[in-house]
Amino acid sequence: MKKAEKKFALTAALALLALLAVILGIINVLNFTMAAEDADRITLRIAAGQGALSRKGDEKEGWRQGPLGPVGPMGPDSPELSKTIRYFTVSVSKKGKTEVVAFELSAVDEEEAAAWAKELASSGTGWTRGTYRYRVYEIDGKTYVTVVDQGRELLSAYRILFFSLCGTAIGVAAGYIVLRLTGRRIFAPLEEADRKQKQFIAQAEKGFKVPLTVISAACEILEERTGPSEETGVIRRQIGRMDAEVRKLGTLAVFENEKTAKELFSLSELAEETADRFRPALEERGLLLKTGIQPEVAFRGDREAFRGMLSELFENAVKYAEKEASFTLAKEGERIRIVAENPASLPDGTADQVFDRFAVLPNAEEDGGGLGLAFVREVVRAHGGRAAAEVRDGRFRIEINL
Amino acid sequence: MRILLASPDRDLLWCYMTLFREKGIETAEAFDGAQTLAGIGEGGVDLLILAEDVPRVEEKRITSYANETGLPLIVLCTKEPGVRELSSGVLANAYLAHPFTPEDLEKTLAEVNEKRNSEELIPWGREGETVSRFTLRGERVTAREIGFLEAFREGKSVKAEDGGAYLAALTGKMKKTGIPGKVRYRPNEGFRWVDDHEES
Repeated sequence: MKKAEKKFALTAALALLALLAVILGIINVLNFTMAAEDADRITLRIAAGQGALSRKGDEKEGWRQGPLGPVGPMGPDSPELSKTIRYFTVSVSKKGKTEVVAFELSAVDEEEAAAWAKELASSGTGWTRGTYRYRVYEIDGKTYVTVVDQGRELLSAYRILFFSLCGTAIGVAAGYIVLRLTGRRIFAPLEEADRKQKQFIAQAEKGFKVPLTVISAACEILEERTGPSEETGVIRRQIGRMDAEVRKLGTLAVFENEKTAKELFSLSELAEETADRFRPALEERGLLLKTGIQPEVAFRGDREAFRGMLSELFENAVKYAEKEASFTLAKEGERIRIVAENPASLPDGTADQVFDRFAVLPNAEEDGGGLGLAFVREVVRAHGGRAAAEVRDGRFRIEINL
Repeated sequence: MRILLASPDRDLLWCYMTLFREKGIETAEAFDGAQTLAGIGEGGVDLLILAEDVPRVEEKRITSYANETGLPLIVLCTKEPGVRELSSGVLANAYLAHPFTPEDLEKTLAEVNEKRNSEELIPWGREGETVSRFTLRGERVTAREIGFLEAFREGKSVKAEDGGAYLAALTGKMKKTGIPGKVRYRPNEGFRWVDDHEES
């Protein structure tokens, strides 16, 4: 459950990061775009003035009536622009001769401005030297280059970008911390449900095991006194069946709560032995079993748990397969892949719900209790592997990767 | 032979007392820990079969007492023996997990009896550590583990289906007691003890 809490906090934080990145990304892109548009309007205004901004303007031009009184035009339309904007305009002849038309810049002198304009004369419009916006235009056959300083405007945009990034980082980090701290409360109901389920399993395991021993012994006494019979045969078979279910319950609980003993063993041999054990049952149902087991595949893990896991896969085939079942085991590099597959009348799609405890597929002919594949998943997980189930083209497939 | 059966489950006691009696084995019963300790104290008991959930007195106290008096002990548990041995250490001569059949108990009894009557030295043991003492350099070992030690000493392999989880507990003990070597697994062969010089 702690892993789930961590994963939830991380996923939520990443989702928040993605959301903030999109929203603030759009805002910042718009901000920079509008800064470029404003700069372009200024250069257009200068171009309209034949390369210079008129100092005399109609102060009333562009004014409108606002709710609190008259509101003057802002930005590129402001009549104050001619006194605040820093720019130069240079004409460049076809022969490359330059002439300064207007010069209101402090960063460079007229000579440097002329050289700068010559560099830009072949382009259209854009940014130059970081914070300067330029425009190249023609008036009466002559090429003019206007370069306008937008440093202050861009500083504002960069500040917004910086604070966006800082805000995003702080927001995401704070969100992650808050979720980690409050995660326990959010997950408390789930944890409680999980704990109760595990407790039930442990209790059921204990509660069933001892009576099975007693029934087995009583059956032995009965047989010694009256001889083996159909009835004692039924009792023994049912003991075996209950024993198998109880062992699954027990192993599920062990994997979730305690350490298991690991050893090196031949997975190939175990798979062959299990396949041979189930072949008669499959043949009795008229099912053909195809196996492809790569020899000498060794694995370090809980041998008995793997014996149980492989048995579950074959038992699943006995219960649900139609016409045939296949089982393959192969080592691919460092990984081991096990695939159990059989035709099944089920709708296409992922079928990972089969690994949930007490889940039973709709095509089940008999109630299997729903623990078998949950057990398979726990064994695989406990050994760092993954189990997946899907139905594709009328075939039910379980794939295990270790 | 006289076996003391200790379990709070009266049906379990009745079944196994009946089965033992039919095989000519004398039995006594105890329903809780206090009766168990009293039964051991009275003497005349050759083996104790103890359910781990026996009430009133802790299982550990009873197993310690049994060990002090040298009484062979089989503990009936609900966890798999390998897991029991790994989680709580070995205090018994054998662990038998529910559900088990009379044949399983018979087999375990035979294993324990065979070892308790053996005056052979335990493999890798200290001087005077015979098999019947169920200790390896001071570490408690079970009858099954002694069987593995004997196989390893003779250079034999232990099949995976006979070894399994129990080997993990045993190899831990061997390492703890400073016995040089390691367990090696070979497909089609099983587990074998390999001395350090053999490995190099």
